[in-house]
Amino acid sequence: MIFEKPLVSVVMVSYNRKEDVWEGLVRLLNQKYTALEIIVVENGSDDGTAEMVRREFHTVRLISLHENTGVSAYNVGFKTACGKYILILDDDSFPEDGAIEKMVGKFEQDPLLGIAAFDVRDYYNYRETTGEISLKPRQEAVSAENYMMSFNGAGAGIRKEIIDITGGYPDEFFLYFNETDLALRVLNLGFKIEFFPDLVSYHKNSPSNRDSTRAPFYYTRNLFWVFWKNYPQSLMWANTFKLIYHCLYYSMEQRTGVYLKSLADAVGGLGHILKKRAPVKKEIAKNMRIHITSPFTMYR
Amino acid sequence: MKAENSRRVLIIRSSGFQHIDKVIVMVRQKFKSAEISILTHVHGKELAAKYGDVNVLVYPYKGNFSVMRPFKTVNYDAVVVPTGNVTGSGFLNVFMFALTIKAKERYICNIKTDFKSLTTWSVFRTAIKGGVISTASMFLAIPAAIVVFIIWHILGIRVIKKDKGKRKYG
Repeated sequence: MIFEKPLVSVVMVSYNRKEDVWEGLVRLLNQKYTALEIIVVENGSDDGTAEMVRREFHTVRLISLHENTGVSAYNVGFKTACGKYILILDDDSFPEDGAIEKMVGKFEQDPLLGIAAFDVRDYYNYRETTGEISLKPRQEAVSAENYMMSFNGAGAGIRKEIIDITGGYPDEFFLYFNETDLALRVLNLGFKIEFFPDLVSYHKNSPSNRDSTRAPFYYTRNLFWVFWKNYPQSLMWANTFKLIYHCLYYSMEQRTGVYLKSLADAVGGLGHILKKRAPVKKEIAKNMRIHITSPFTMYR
Repeated sequence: MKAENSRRVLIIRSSGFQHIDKVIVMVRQKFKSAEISILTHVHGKELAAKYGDVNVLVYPYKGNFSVMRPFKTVNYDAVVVPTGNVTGSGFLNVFMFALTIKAKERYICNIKTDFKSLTTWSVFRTAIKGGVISTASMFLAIPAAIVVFIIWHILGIRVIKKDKGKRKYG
């Protein structure tokens, strides 16, 4: 008796990483799991990524956008996806061989599993961290006991029905903390987010942009928005105060204006955020593990 | 005298696993043949198992590494604190926590995987500076939060009016 494999849509957003996109697509096409629909949303690159995909990957669905819309581009890909499950990837990440098949197995076994978070490993230490050398391979989900976690967008599976209900990533975030925002809404729907160490993806994480203010700016601003959009009043105000305190503290400690700029920008967007405000259950907000100081640890 | 291969090194899992992947490689190079352990929160336990010969110790608290939440361990030859940035800014709590672990030497391993010595004096200086900045920040945060609170309510009332009371904002 032959069972039809459920279709998996792989959604990758690319921006000026032609070589990495090429490698990622080659690796995806070499996956054992063949019921794949690969969607590349081209976010206005000027390095010829779209031409390369069109020329070399005829089976890949390419959606070309005229400008860089940040994480909003994922939503464009999600909307056109036909799969029962979606695999979210960065343009510089790819799943390990066999990971997609395992991911489908996790979803099929557990109807409440909303997001299957991958173990996203550093590509540049591929050899040292490949699953083959692990002495203790595990297949069960990681227990986080009484707290909840978000996921890493460089490798995560999600049910398409969840995307249809939630609308996917928050368009206004542009970059960073979009996973946490979606995670809160997924958990609020009653679905689970679990980490599986045997679902591995590799990510070309580079520290070269660490002196840039882009990451701390978006991380800080979006964390305000995560709280303002999703947290019940009491927790929202407590976290807002803590975050303002940290903005001031790290502005002085690191002698930078980027955090105050983030705060100003967050307040500037407050009108829009309030329209989208839909607080999650208090227990979820309380137990969601968010490092409130994380935006301040990536600059300098 | 202790043999080289009996050296014990503890890595505190204070940055993302993609950085830890790199730190492990550097620690193996710096402390050849040493017995390496990693201290991680419970959610990192299985993820740390990928390092194979590295002992995984679980920090039994939900909160950040803190001197208020000490962890009893054996004595180590070296403790390594990975930082997700260059200077270690924002990792004072982990530095202070690292001092509570008995070790002969302590190091920061930053985002570029450069090792820098972590001493009681350097942590003390950072803590003093942090205390002064913290006090100033607290005084400034109160009026700043009040301003945000007022803007929130003005805009919130507008949103309610626009939505004719259909949408709750609280």
